[in-house]
Amino acid sequence: MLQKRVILFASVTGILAIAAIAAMPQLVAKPKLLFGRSLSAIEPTLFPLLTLVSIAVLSLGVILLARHQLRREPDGLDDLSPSDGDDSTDWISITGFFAILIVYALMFKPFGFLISSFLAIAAAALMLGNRNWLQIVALALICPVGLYLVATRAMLVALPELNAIELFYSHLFAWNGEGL
Amino acid sequence: MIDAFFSGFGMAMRVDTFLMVSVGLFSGMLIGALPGFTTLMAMAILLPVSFFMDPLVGIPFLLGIYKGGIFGGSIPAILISMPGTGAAIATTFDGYKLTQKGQSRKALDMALFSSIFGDTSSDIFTLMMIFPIALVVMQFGPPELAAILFLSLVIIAATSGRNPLKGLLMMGIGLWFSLIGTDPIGGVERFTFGLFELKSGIPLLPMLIGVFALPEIVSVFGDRSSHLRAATKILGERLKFSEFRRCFRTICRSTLIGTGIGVVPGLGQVVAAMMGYTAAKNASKTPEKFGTGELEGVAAAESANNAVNGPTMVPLLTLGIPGDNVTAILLGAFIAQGLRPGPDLFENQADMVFAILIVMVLANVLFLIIGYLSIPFFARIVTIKSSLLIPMVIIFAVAGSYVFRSDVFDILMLAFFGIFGVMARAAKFDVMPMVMGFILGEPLEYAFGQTMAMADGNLLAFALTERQGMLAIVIATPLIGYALWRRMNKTLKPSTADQFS
Repeated sequence: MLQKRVILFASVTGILAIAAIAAMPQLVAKPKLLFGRSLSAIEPTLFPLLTLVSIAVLSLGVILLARHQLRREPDGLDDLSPSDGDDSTDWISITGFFAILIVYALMFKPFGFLISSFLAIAAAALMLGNRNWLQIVALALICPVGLYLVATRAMLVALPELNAIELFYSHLFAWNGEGL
Repeated sequence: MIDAFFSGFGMAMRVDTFLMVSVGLFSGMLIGALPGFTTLMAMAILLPVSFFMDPLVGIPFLLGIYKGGIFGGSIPAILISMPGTGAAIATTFDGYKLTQKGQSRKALDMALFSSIFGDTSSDIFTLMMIFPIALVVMQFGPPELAAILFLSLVIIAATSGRNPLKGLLMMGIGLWFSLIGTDPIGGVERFTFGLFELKSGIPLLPMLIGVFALPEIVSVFGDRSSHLRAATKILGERLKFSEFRRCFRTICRSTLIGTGIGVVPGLGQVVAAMMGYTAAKNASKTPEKFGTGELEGVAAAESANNAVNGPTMVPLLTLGIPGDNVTAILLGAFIAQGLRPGPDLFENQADMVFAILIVMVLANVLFLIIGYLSIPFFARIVTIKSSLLIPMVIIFAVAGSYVFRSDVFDILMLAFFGIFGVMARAAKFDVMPMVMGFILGEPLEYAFGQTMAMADGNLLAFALTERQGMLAIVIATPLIGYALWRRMNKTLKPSTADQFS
C-alpha cells in the first residue's frame, strides 16, 4: 500500500514537471533586453528548466525504486524516516477536515471572522466526536471572540467582519471614538 | 566585536523580552505535553503573533516555545509512553518504565535537569563560537555562498530519510515553488498563471503552517482514542543530587553529541536523542539495564535533544541556512521582522545577534523555574480532550495565515499546502527538504546569477583560477552527502525506525 502511494505521488509530480517543461514558453516571460542584450547573466528559464528536469528524473527514480521494493516485499514497510506519519490513513477524516477548512476560507470574507469561525469550530468539534452541545457552543462563542479581540485590539490587525458586528464592537470597546 | 557583545547584552535586558520568553516557555511546554501536538505546530501557529512584536521580543518568544516544547514532549513520553514530540521518542524507552515502577517524578526531574544542562551548555557554545564562524563567513562572496547553499541542500536531502531520492525529489519541488513569482535577477514573471497574488511569490507563512501544522492536526483528527486516555498521576520521590551526579558523565557526552549534530543542517533532535541514547548504552557497564527503567537513559536522550537547540542557530545566523524545520520557522520570523540572517546581519546588526543569543542563554534560568514548578500541571494536561483543542488550533492557523497580508488567497494557499503535506506524509515523503528548497531556492539562484556575471559566462575557468574554495566545496558536496546518509542509516536502523512510524 505504501509503495503504491509513493508511485502515485511521484507519478503526479513527474507528469506535472514534464507538463511544465512543455509549457515553459507560456509560463516564463521573455527576458528584458537592453540594446539587444539580456540584463542578467543567466536566462530566467535556466533554473526552472534544471529544477523541472531534476524533478522528472527523480520522480522516475523514485517510481522505479518503489516498484522494485513492491516486487520484493509486497507488504513491506522498509522506508521509514523520523518525520513520517502513520501508514494507516483515515481519508474520511482528512477529507472532512479539508472540506471544513476550504468552506471556512470561502466564508471568511462574506460572513466575517466571527460567524465563519463559529461554524468552523462547531463543525470541527462535531467531527472530532464531541456531542456535548453546551461545550461546543461555549467553545465556538468564546474562542473566536477572544481571538478577534486579541487580534484587533492588542495586535492591531484587521480581521474581516460584518458591518453590524463591527458597529457593535465599536460601541462596546471604543469610547469617544478611540480604541482601548 | 566586544562592543557589540556588551551592546547586545544591554539590548537583551528588557522586562518585556523575558516576560514573552516565559510565555513562550510555558506555551511550548503546554503544547509539547499534549500528545499529537508538536513544537513545530506550536511555532508555526504562533509565528504570526511574533510579527507584531519588537524583534527582540518576538524572536525570543519563539525561542521560548522551541525550548519549552522539546522538554514538554518528554512529559507524555514518560507518563503515558506517548512522545509529545519526535525528539522524545528515545525518552519513552526508559521514561515510561520508570513510571511503571512508580518513579515518574524522578524521571520527569531528570528529564528537566538534563534538558536544561544540555540546552545551557550548547547555548554558551553557540555564543562563543558564532562570531569566529561569522568572521570566516563574512569573507565569502557570491560563488562561495552559492556553493555552501548547494552543499546545505544536499546535506538536508541526504539526511531526511533512508531514501535520498525522496528527499531530493521533495527538495526539487521546494525549489520549483521558490521560482514562482518574479525572477530575482531579471525581474520577469515565472509560473504565476496570470494570478496577481502570485507575482510576489508564494507566501512563506501559509506554506509553513500548511505543511507543518495541518498534517499534525489531521493526524489528531483521525485519532479518536486521544481523548480516552486515563488520568495520570505523578508518583514517587524527587530526583536526588547523587542520582544526577551518577548520570553526569552521560549528560556531558550527550550534550557534546547534541551540540555537534545541531551544527549540521538537517539532522535535528530525533537523531541526536537516538545517538545520545545509543552512546550511553554502549558506554555503560550495565547496558542490559537500558530499556528497563534506567535514569541514565532518560538523561542521555533529553540532554542530547535539547543540546541541539543552540547550535542550530549557527548555520541560520551566519549563512541564513535553517538547520531544521524549527529554524525554518525562525527564519520566517527574522525575515518578517526585516532581518535577513547571513553575513550581512553580522556586519550591520551584530549587537542584535548577540542580544538574541544572550536571551537564549538566560532563558534557561526561566526554563528551570517554570519547568520545576509546573510539571504537576503539565502532567494533568496530558489527558485533555483533543475535541476541545483542535478547533481552536484550526482558527489560530487560519487567522494566523490571514493577518499578515489580509488576503483570503493566503488561506487557500494554507489549504493547498495542508493537502500537499498530508499527501506527502501518507506516501512517507518528508516535507522538510521541500521547505528548505523553497527557502534557499531564491538566494541560491541569486548567488549563482552573480557568480555567472563575475565569471563572465566561463564558470569552470573562473572556479579553477580564482575561486578554488567554491570548487572544493562543490567537489566535496556529494561525498559529504553520502557520508551523512550512511551515518544516518546506521543511527536509524529499521528496528529503531519502526518506532517513529
